[in-house]
Amino acid sequence: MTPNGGLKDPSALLRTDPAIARAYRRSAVMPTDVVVSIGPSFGKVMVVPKDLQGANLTQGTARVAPAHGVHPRFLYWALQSTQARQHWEISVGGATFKALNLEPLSMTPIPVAPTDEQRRIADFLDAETRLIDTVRAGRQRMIELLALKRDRLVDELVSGGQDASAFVPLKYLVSSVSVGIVITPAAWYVEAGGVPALRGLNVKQGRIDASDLVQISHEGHLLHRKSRLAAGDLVVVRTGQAGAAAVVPAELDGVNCIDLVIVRPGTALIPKFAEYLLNSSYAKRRVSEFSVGSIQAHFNVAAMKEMPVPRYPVAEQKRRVSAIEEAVQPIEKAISQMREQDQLLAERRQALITAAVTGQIDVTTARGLD
Amino acid sequence: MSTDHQKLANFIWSVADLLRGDYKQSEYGRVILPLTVLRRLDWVLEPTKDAVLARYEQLKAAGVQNMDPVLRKTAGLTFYNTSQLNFRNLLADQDHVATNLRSYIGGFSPGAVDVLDKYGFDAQITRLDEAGLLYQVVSKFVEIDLRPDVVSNHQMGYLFEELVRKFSEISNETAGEHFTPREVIKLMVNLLLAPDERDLVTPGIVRKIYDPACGTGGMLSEAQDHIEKHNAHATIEVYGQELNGETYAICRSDMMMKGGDPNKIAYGNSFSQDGHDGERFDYMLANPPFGVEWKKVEKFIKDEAARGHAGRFGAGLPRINDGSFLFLQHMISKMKRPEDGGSRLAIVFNGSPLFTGAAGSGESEIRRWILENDMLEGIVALPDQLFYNTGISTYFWILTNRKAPERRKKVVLLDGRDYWVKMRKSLGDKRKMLNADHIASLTKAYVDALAIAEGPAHEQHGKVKDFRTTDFGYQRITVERPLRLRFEITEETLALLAEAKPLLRYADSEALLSTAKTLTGTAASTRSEFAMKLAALGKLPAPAEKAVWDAFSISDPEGEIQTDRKGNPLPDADLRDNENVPLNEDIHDYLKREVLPHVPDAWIDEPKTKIGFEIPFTRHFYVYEPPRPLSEIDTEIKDLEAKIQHLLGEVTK
Repeated sequence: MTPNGGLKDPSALLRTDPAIARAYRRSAVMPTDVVVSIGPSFGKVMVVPKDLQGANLTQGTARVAPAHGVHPRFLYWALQSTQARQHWEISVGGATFKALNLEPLSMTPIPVAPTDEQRRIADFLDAETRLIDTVRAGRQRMIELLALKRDRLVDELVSGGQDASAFVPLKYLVSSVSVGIVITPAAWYVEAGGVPALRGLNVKQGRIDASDLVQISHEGHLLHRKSRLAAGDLVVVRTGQAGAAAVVPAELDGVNCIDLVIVRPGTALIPKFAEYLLNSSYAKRRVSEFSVGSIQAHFNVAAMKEMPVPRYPVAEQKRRVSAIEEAVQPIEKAISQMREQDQLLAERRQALITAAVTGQIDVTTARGLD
Repeated sequence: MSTDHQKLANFIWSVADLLRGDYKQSEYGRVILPLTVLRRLDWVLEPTKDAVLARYEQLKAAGVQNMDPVLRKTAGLTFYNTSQLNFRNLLADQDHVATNLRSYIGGFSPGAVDVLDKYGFDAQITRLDEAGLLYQVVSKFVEIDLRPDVVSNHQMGYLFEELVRKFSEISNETAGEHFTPREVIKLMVNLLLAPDERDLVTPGIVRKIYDPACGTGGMLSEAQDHIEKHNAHATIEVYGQELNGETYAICRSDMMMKGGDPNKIAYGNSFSQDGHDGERFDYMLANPPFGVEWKKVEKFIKDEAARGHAGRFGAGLPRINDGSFLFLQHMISKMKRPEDGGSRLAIVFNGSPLFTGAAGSGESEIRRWILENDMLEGIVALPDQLFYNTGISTYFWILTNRKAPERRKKVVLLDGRDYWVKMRKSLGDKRKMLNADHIASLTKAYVDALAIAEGPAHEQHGKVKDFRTTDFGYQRITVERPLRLRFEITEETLALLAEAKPLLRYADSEALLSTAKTLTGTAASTRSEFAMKLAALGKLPAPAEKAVWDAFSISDPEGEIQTDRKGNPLPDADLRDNENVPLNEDIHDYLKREVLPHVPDAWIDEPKTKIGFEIPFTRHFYVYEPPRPLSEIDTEIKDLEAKIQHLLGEVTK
């Protein structure tokens, strides 16, 4: 089931044989039934489409057959009202994982309305939510486009105007390229009182998420002098999201690191420019081209050292960094505002459903009915 | 292929209903498979049973020790049974079925008993007996008509494979461990045999096929079928070896039921107990386990490797945690000499053997040996998620010592990663499969590889590349840069001196440190100048003097170049770098062109140069997808925004 009451992939439905189907006739569904997911991701609702007549359900779903005089689509919307949802939230059980049981589902409060009125409400909500959902999908696409545009701008600004044949292996522009603790880093882990160490999962594209740092013992830290980080170093992910790079901020000066490529920029390269460069789609392409590993992508120090990069004077790098920031900031701001707007649209959708099914708005006068 | 064997297999499998409750589903095969084997063997032996028994009594009376050859001959088969009982009458005494069954099994010839032994069937007899099921289960099998004139050897093979497949699929824990998907085998056999198609139709040919990790024998059967389909008059002898007892038993009984010689399937580790020592084969194929440690046979293999090319592992040894290359070397050792017709082989590998191991390592040396001897014909990359027990990417390596003239000194890489369809229902890790079209098209692409690689218009052009064998080689050079130092006595360098190990063993270290402390602030840009300033420390023993110099020397890109006694610059270990230079390029030219423009003072430490070989498969097929142009993105953003604005107007009207 999809969150919007549809069927995800009809071809992915499992099939049973006729004998099993006969044995479970009680849970076979009819085209006017409503199906509700009651497993850990409970709350998804759909009206059974015609071509699924007689289909069966697995244990994570429940069949709600509307009584005479109850319109299935009205029931579909009523089950998504805030009252219904809150009733479920307070009634969920399950020792190991949350799940909705049939009993509280059957006790869900449903507003009473004449059949004609139910139909009007359902029609109204069908039309209104479709509109909202279309806007939200459009916004989602817009966010993707803006992110793409952002990446393209960065690409052009880091390497634009330079002939790739004039690129220089990274190793000649930096003071060193090395690697964090690779051999059994877990042997040095301590619960507390140690030295923090960055791992791959802490490094995102252009930022470091220091919320979940491991700690290694002082002994381990002393032994791994070479992988101590200094503010201004770049750390690059080797395994998993291979290639994501971030500058080490001042507050992480002196921490250690595990299985990351460490690029120490030296005097020829400024860290922020290097960060944009290493996160650019040009660099990503190099990383995926040179990533090896039979199970997951894995990028090594040698490949990083050899990566050809453009060579600019420091002043030019600074100019480019500010140009990038100037170009990127409004895009990032727009993206974050669109996300806020999306929240509002979601809220509006929920409020509209609740108001309509409980009769708080008169759908005959509201728009949506032609 | 008829479906009769499937119906029969379903019927046989239905006997397992009796086991429900006493056996787990995943254990059904342990009862069903050996009983099917027993039933079939009994039917096969029936026509000559009386003659065998009579002959046996006769030989026994005459005191003959080695009755085996005569009895085989009497039975007209590679096995026989000398028990007075047969499958039907061992049930006559309901209370002693277990005893009778054991006595009946004991009457089989050694090769056949061995199979039942490896199944661990004796334990199942006890278990069935204790559960009160033995009589019922055996009775069911008595009813099953597997007479050779009703079910041919060929059909019996299919039937048994069907049962094995059911068993494998039902027991998720073992599914696929020794089971290569059928369609993968088909492709592999095609690639192995396709170039020889014309040769294989010659009437009366004899070909030997071998799989050193044969599992249940699926690859061997498929290869045999393939040739026999082309040529009904071919004699195909299949040889295999398998480490896992139960799997071995399945494979061997499959051979017995198809009328093959079960003795050609050996039990044990192919490395340490080679079951076919000295034998050579026309075709070989294997899907050895990936990344399996060879520690258990380490001594054996190292001893053999020490004998150089007199043994199988003369080219080198892979790392201890991956025996893949050992299988390949083992197979290469069993190739027929080219003058005797030569051999072809195909093996399934994961990605590691392509590139694991730096220049000079065992893996690199093995690749080098294979390529320098022009044995690698091609590598085919397969889609991931194709095997039951792993979702990783896999590759066929195809080797031969009789390359077609146009393929000599060449290697074909075929990228088959996009040839798959999604399975309706996944089986273990297997979510993708090859269909008949994929198999046909990959086979054709492999056969026509050179033409496709040369023809840019061919639709598969992007999937096929050919290389010279030397293209995979490189010279790994060590690039050194001079050690540049300045010299300083500071608090920091004094602390380093105090921590230095040689000083801990030096009796007068206290005095040395306090004298040195008085010199704090002393600095020099050259060694000779600093030496003079250090005279105040007096004459020191060599280790202490070295410690002093080590502590007070500071690496400095602007510092004095340090030299040895002959005046040659000393290398700086921290600045040491490596470069991979193509095999056919002069390393000095390379240095001049690629390195010196950036670091003019660099030089090559030539004795450290090593030759390496690697096959960066995915890199050769990497296709750059250029990002969309900004203007296109912008247009789409604007259009979309206008639409959203309109809709938002509707929403909040």
